[in-house]
Amino acid sequence: MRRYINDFRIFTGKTALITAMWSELAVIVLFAALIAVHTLTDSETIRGFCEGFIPMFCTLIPIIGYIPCNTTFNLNRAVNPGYKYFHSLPDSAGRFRRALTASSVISLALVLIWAGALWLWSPTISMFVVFMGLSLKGTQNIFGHAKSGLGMFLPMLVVISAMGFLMGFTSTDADSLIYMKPEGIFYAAPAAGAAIFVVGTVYSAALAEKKWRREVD
Amino acid sequence: MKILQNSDVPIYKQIASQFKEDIMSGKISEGEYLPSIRGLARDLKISVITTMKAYEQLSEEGLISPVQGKGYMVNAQDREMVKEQHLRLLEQHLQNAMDSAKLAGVSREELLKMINVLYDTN
Amino acid sequence: MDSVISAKGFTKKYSKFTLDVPELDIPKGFATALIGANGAGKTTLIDALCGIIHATSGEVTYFNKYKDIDSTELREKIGYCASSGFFPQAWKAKDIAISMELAYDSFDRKKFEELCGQLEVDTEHTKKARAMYKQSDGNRMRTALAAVFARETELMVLDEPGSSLDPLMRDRLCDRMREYLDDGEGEKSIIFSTHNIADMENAADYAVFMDAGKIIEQGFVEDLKEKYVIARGESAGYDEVKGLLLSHNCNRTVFDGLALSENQEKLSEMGAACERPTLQQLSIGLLKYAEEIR
Repeated sequence: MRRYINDFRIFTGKTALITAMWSELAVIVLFAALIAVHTLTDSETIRGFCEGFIPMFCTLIPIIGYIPCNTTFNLNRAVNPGYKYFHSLPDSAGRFRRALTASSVISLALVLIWAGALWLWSPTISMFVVFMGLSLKGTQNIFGHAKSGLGMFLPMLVVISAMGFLMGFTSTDADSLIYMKPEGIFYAAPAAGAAIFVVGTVYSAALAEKKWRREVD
Repeated sequence: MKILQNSDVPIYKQIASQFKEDIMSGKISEGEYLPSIRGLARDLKISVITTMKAYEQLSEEGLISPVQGKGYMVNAQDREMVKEQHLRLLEQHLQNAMDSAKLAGVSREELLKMINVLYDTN
Repeated sequence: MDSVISAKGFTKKYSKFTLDVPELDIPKGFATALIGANGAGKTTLIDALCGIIHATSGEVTYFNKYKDIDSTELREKIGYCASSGFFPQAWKAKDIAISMELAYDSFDRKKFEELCGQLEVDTEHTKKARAMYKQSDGNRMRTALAAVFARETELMVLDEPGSSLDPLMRDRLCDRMREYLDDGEGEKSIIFSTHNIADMENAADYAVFMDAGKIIEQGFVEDLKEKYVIARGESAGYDEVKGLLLSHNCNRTVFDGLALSENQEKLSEMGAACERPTLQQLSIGLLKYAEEIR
């Protein structure tokens, strides 16, 4: 375990993890503030603003978990500074594999912390966030080794759209979605996300060393 | 040790001749070690191979010998013999100078004067 | 003499460039300079030897012992530094210290801080230390050099370490290199590349000249300086000596060129003046010769 975290730190220095943690903290504080405003205010306009803003805001958050992993993948692109440093390290391929796995687990942790905080307000939204966070990470792990940046960007768009579609599909207006009881599709979505995540993480780890050594294109 | 970087005389020759002087004059005595090759290169700000070449030259002339793992040690010098060698060399150079003087029509007095002037300027 | 790196049939093929090194022996205990024009293949050779990129074919032996560049033990002994963008752009000295300390057994964080101070760049304790992208090429190179010299290694492989440094810093780098060799007492070696050897003449013991992916000459600097001479004369006598020159340069007044020392007497008879070349003159002569026969 310690080895995995250390290898992740070799690749990211102190910046990536700390940035991600601070962003997560900032988001939770901002979220709490919005909820507080929503409960305390008497103004219909502000309440409406909060109700519209919070779900949209929630769906964007899992991207924070996406950052550390993205950084790790980017290190295996020759155009990026740092490439030669990482490739000169002892056991660099093994370290890359462990760093990737660690970054996935870190992302998972960030998503779960966020989903836990969200659960207190709306379990259904929380479930969707878990779905989005995990499937984003999973697809990125599958496409992350792709040579072009587009290969990483497109799956992300697909997942975000799928999320929007799911939310629209399950409810007719946002209000009812937020306060709905979690059942059926609400459990199926995060389960699907988890499956994509596991497949992606295992796949990227299996391919990591070969990709690092440029044995496969 | 004085090293001129832009002299016509290669640096390794400058080093060799200065050590030679020190050894002949007894400043470095028999059985002593010369500074390590890489240490001297570091101090003189020159490459390792240059000092190495200087030491090799001194070694070829029999002034020093390599000792496994310890560097170069100064040999026992037969001063009389070395002096003899140098006298012979001196004689030869003076002969050359006289030949040139003859060709150029320089008189004996003028030649002696030239030597005096050179002594003063050195 | 022992070799620190010895390669046979070493090649790296790209679509538009091929590095082809049938035989290369780099002596242990010395500083070896890889000299060549831009695009001669110096970086490709260095990167392939250090396992940054994978060679197409060939066998390399390191320290007379290791054959596999992916060996962890071997990589601990090699201090590699790229010519630019060695560390990620967002990194500061602290990130480098954290990463290197975890990655290498022998990285000395205190020494890194000391060396950064000596080379006058931000340390991990500098207030408001700047990230790499906010610093000049020269500062980035100095930070990278401080980082590799803070490790306990037996071979330094530095790609164009002097190019982005000012003359004063380059002088300090040469001092640092000689110190490294001295501390190693013949066990530590350096390989560095440069396209401008003038400022690092006194730090090079062995020279490897490269042109268009091939090694055109190699040897100890003092031996090479005796193998070749620079011949000069008035252009009227150029036609006569032309055949003896390896590189040719003639204008309406004078000519000069590189020639083999064995032809020195003949050249003198033909009225050309010969002198012992500096490493810089030797480089220009050899690279020009390579270009002429390419």
